[in-house]
Order: sequence, then C-alpha cells, then structure tokens
Amino acid sequence: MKKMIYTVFVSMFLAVALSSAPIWAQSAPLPEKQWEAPVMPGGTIVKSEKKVVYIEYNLPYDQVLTWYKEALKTHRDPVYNIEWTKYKDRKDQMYIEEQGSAKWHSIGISKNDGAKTNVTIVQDNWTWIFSTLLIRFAGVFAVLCILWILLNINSYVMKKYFPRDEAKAEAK
Amino acid sequence: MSWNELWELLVGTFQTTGFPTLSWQHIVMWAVGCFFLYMAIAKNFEPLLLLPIGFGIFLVNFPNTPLMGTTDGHPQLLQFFYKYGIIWEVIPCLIFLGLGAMTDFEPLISNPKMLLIGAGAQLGVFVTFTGTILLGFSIKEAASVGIIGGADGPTTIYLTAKLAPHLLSANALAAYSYMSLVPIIQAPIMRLMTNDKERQIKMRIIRKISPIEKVLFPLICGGIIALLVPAVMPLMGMLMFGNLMRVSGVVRRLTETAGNQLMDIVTIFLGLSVGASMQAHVFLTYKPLTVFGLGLLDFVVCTMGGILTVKVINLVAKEKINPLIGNSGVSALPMAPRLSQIIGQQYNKGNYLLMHAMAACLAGSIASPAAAGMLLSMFE
Repeated sequence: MKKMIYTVFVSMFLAVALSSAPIWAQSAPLPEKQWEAPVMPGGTIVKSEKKVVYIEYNLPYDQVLTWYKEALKTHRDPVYNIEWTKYKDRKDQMYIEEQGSAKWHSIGISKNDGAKTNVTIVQDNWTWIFSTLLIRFAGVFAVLCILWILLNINSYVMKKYFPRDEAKAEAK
Repeated sequence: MSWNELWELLVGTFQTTGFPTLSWQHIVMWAVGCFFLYMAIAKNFEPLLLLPIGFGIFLVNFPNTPLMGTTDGHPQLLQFFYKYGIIWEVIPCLIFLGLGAMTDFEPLISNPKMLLIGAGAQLGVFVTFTGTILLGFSIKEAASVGIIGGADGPTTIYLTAKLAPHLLSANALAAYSYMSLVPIIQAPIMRLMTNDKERQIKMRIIRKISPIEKVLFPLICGGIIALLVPAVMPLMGMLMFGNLMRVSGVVRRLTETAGNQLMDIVTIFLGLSVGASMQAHVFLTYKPLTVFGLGLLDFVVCTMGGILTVKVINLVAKEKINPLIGNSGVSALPMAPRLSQIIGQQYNKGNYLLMHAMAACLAGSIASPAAAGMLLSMFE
C-alpha cells in the first residue's frame, strides 16, 4: 500500500513538474527556429513559457545584434521586397517587431554591459493585436472628442465676446 | 537581300511587337479595364476616376509598352506619374487641398457633436484589420486594407502607398467602387438597423456660424491633428490649408484654382497612375482579389459603426439624433448624406436631414485620416 501511495505521489509530482508553464530547461538544445524566428546558436534556454522563450548568450550585445540583423535580412516580402521587421532601439533592449505574418511577434535583445546578452522571443498573439487596435480606435475617438470640446469652447467664446458677428451670421 | 535575311528581318520585326509575349493574363486585364470604362461611360459610376483608371489598366496591360518600366534608369511616362505622384505621396495631398478648398465645414462647426459619428464609423477599419490578418495578410497589408471602409480615396491611397504599395490599385479601386455603390450597400443596412420611430426623429435646424469661427476652424482642427496624429499631417495640413483659403475669402483665385483646375489635373494623374499600377502580374494574385471582399465587409461595418454610435449618443443626449445620418460617418461625399436625406424623407416628408448628414460626413473626412494616422503610428 505504502509503495502504491509513494508511486502515485511521485508520478503526480513528475506530471505537474513536466507540464507546468515555465519549464526550466537549461540543458535543452537550442532549436534553429522558434515560432519561425531565427535562433542564434550557442546560447542556453534560461526559461521557456507557452508564448515566450528566454535565451542567454555568453556574448556581447553587439555580436548578438549583428547576428540577428544578418539572419533577418531576408525576412521580407519575396515578391514586393517590403521589410517585415521593425527595429526599435529602446533604452534597455533592441526590440525587433515582426510586421509580416510569421508566427513570432518580437525578439528582444537586452543591452547588458557585460559579456552576457539575453534574448527574448515572443510568439505572435492576438492579445497584442486586439489591444493595439482597441487603443487606436479609442484614440480616434479621443482626437475627435478633443476637437469637439475645443469647437464648443470656441463657439461659447464667439457667442460671448463677439455677439455682433453671431447676430450678423444669424441674420444671413 | 536573301530569303534568309528577309525571314530574319520579319521575325525580328515580329519580336518587337506585343504578340510573342501576350498572355491570357493580359487579356483578363483588358476585360477588367473595359469593365471600368463601361461603368464610367455607360453607367456614369464615378466617371471622373473610373474612366482614367480603366484606361490606365487597359494601357499598361499590353506587352512591351514603355509605360510602367524604366528606360536607361529613368521612369517611363506612367511610372513617372506613379512614382512622383503616388509613391512620393504628392497626389493624395493635392486632392485634399482641392477638397479643402471646395468644402464648407459650417454644418460640422455648428454641430460638433457629429464628430463622434465620424469616429464611430471607423469601427470597420479596425474590425477588417483583424479579419485581414486572419486571412494571412501581413500587418502592414491589413492596415492598408482596413482603411478602405472609411470610403476616403486619398487617405486609402496615402496609407497604402506607405505600407503596401503592391495593393495600391486594389485598395484604391475598392475604395472608389464602394463609394459609388453607397445607395446599394448602405440603404439596406440603414433600414435594418433602425425602427420607424427612430427614422422619424426630427433634428433642429443648424445654427449659422460667424466668419471668424469659420476661419478659426482650420487652425484649431489642423493644430489638434498635428499635435495628436502628426503622421497624417501631410493630408490634414493640405485639407485645412485649402479650407482656410476658402473661408478667408481673400484668395479667391487660389481657392478656385485649387478646387477646380488643380483638382482636375491631379485627378487625371491619380486615375491613370492607379490604373497603371494594375498590371496583370501584380493584380491577378489572390491578395488584390481578396481585398475587394474585405473592402465590402469593411464598408458594411463602418456604416453599422456610424449608426450604432448615433444610437449610443441617443441613450444619453437630450436632443435625439436621427440614426439615418449614421451612415454618413463614412466620408463618401455627397452620396452618403444624400441617401440619409432620401430615406429620411420616405418616412417623414418634413424631415430635412441633409445638412446634419453632411456634418457627419465631414466628421468622417477628419476621422478617416485620424484613423490612418493611428495605423501609421504602429509602424513608426
């Protein structure tokens, strides 16, 4: 009986440990591509989640960035030659955004001072698309609401301080 | 001259004609070009645009014609118009200058609440964006297809030239085609989404506004757009400049030129360039053809968005708005406001919705570039 309980507990623990979202897989081999995004060889997967992979390299930032720039050179529309990547140089990282229809959303290359560089690859996700669209739709409303408010203020000022002009306009 | 030499001469001459490289795709494109010519000439559908577009399609779809390529590194005739007019974004901005010079914003200034309808009518832009991505388009392509629903030709061309030039002809054609199909597309949606009581809502006569307010409008509107959506200022700046010329009343000659002669000249180049960009190898692929379907969905959702916005406003506003003007939130001037007026009068003979619908339409013409600016900012 004890053996059985022990076996059940151990197997449950193993099942939970293996299926949990963040997989600590330091020794896992690096794939050539992650969600169609190129992966620089020579690194170690520090952490892997359902939609994000964190990789660490014992290389300086410039070297990693150069590799990714070279690897993404061909990531463009083959027929119309439109670039599908956008580089956003941020304070803490170089953020490479995918603007085509690949399965990855972004690659972040951290700007560390030392010899280590962290790369974060994020899978394409609808949360980003929906949220950015929602914000932009709300943005259109915001722009026109501000214009509305200003036009109302303008009309109030005109009525109050230039009543003659208003009366003339009404008479017309 | 020997028979051989004569034969070679004949073959050489034949090689310079279009026949050796003629393909079925060219013939399909002739049919497409002729269809647009037919729509323009026989049906009078947007003839000012569809005629030059149709002929542009017809012209460039003959093999070996030196029109859309380069000779010794220099662009050929239509390539020249296309490159410097559209890719360099000059033509859409000049069209906006002309529109500004021709447009009276009085209905909107006197009833600025209508701006919200213009914003609500951009719903389709964002809905279609999602649908387009689902169909495997890139994000840039999705943004350029999404803007079709705003029914704003120059904005569609401006955005597409920046983000997905290969879809330019399809997007521009879809935008202008759906604009001319306003009565067919919008009328059933308007009837479906409103009830008898709503259709009979009478709206107050619009107040007159003073000349100073008219002059201040382009400055206020231009300033706000420049601060909040600077990416789209080439379009809005020209629209507001054209309008300032008009309302100031001191540069009558310039206003007339911008609204008439310049507008006509630019329209010729725009139509020809858009048509010329529809070469068989670019157009006869699944993406441009899918754009037409997506554009229709876009236009439908934008119309619904405008009507829904009116209904939401009516929930809180003291003074009710007739939801029949909601369709005019897309900037299809003058068809959409005219349709609001016609349908409104069918249900209440004493109901005059035209000026209110005009206000909503003018709001759409500001909201559409604003939406384009929002989309452009995604990529900057």
